[in-house]
Amino acid sequence: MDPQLVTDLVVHTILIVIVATLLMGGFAAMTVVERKLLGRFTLRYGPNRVGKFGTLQVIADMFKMFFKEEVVPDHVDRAIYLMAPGMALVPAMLAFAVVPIAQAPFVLPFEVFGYTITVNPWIADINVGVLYILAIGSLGTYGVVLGGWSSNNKYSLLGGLRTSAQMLSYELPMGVALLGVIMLAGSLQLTQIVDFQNAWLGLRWFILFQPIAFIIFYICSLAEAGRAPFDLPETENELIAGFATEYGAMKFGLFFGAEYIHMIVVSFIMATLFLGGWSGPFATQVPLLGIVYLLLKVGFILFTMIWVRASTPRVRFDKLMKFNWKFLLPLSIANAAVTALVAGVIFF
Amino acid sequence: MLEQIIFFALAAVAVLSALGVVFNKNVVHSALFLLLNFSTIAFLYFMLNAQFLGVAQILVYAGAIVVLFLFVVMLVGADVGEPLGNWLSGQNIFLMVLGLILLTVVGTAVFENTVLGAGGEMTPEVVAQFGQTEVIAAALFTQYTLPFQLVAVLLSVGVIGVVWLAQHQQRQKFRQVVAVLDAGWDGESQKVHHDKLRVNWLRRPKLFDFDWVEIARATDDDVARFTRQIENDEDRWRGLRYPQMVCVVSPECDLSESTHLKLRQMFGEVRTADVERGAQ
Repeated sequence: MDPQLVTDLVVHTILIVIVATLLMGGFAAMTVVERKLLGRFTLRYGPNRVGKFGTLQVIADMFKMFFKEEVVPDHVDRAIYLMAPGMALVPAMLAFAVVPIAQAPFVLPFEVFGYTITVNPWIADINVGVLYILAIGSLGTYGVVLGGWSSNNKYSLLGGLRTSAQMLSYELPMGVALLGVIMLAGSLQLTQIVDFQNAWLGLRWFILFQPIAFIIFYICSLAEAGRAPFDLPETENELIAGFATEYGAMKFGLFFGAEYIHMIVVSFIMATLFLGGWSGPFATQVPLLGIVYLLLKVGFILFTMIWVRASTPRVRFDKLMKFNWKFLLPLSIANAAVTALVAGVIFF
Repeated sequence: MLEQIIFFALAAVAVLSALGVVFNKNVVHSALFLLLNFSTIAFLYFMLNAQFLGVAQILVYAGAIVVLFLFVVMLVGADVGEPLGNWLSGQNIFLMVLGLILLTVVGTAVFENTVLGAGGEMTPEVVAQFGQTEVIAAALFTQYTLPFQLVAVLLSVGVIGVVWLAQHQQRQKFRQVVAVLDAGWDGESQKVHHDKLRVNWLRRPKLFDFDWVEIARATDDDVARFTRQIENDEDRWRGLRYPQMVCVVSPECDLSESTHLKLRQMFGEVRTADVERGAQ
């Protein structure tokens, strides 16, 4: 086989493994950060027993999840029941593939087995990046829906039903809100969208031109990730954790991880589409600075997500639907229409 | 070589999963096989360099339509292990013949146009220069504008038609819908009187669109539950209509003064009359 192809495959595989590992690490870190912050928001300490300031709490939690007995109830649809946590976790990770973390590919300064190796700061820079994100996001529904159905439990089924309705509905304004960005950037490719924003000292961010789209996208992302105030799929106090009722040990851990990884990935996407991605002052000259900018932006979005969770009550289900269909969707369509008009006047 | 191996593996998965859809007895398993089938077809599109089509396939079919299937199956419920019945019936054989004809036509078209050369001017190299989306958009908005718009209109007609049917089916047939509170009814929850539909709220204790209220053989408690539900109604249009409605209370039902007061506050006019006569 072509040696170039083989090196590409190997480099890509290594890159994917690194990204997946980092995302899992991010999930672990987020559990502690979230519990600490929620504690602070509600005037408590949060975890503070394991390690300095409770920072090693995550290791204790992981130990607990890994060494709990794996129970598969008799009344479940076994194959789907075991498949569902994986189907929740994988799409959450997949969406990260198109996010660029720096401007240009860099060449490793040393040769490996006689080959020069070029590492891209993204896993795949496809022409239909934004559509890919939406498509993968729509696949994320399956884990929760199937988990709810296969558990053969009324509460779980209700959780699954709610999820399918909620996610199908919130995908619409999310996609329509992105139209504004796509029209201004003139591309569906994430690298080009970031390149567009890397002007005016790297501060020509889409949030300046599309603030409404950003807010709609933010709200819809919360709903898609099943985060408070849209955490109706689980709702521990009315549905006993909904779709996850019959899951324990690491199977629950995977669902748990899927939620956090979804949150992290969606923050990366939001930062890339609306907050300029890696762009910022002097990020073109010093590529490392771009990664720092990106992480800062992502960190800020994650912080606001936890903030929202700590300060808003859960929405009732009928209001959730009404809010989406009667407010968000018309607003996003209006936003797209106005953007199209303005962009048309400016560009042509 | 590598491409052929991947293609045949994907094709095998696609065909097997399609068979799984048809022959599986569990509806949810069938839906999941359909999901697998759609995904493999998306991968086949990717292999043909049709990224846009592949992503659209995942977005629309795998992401939305199968979720809808699952939603319906969960909501309506399906008997697991339902027998397939006599699948070799006359209708099915006819459908199989139609399927074979379609396969032959499509197969011939594909075979003659691509396998034997003449693949058109849009080779992968050409497409790569513009980018997938741009090429498809250019075709859709210039060469095929009219069919594209027509398809959009067709889809909108479907959506609007469903909404209209769901909302106006009842209003169309009946001039007036009467909400009846009558504990004396037996069996059915609604009766048709000429052009009026009389729905017994006590048998069907949910809110519905009604134009007239009749209370006969109901206790204070029943009326209290009824009025509370109306008070909690969030529908703005119905809320505007309540103060203009007529509520007929039969003399045979013994309601307390406070209940009467409540009804007077809620509806435009409260009459005391025999219910059958009041309905006329």
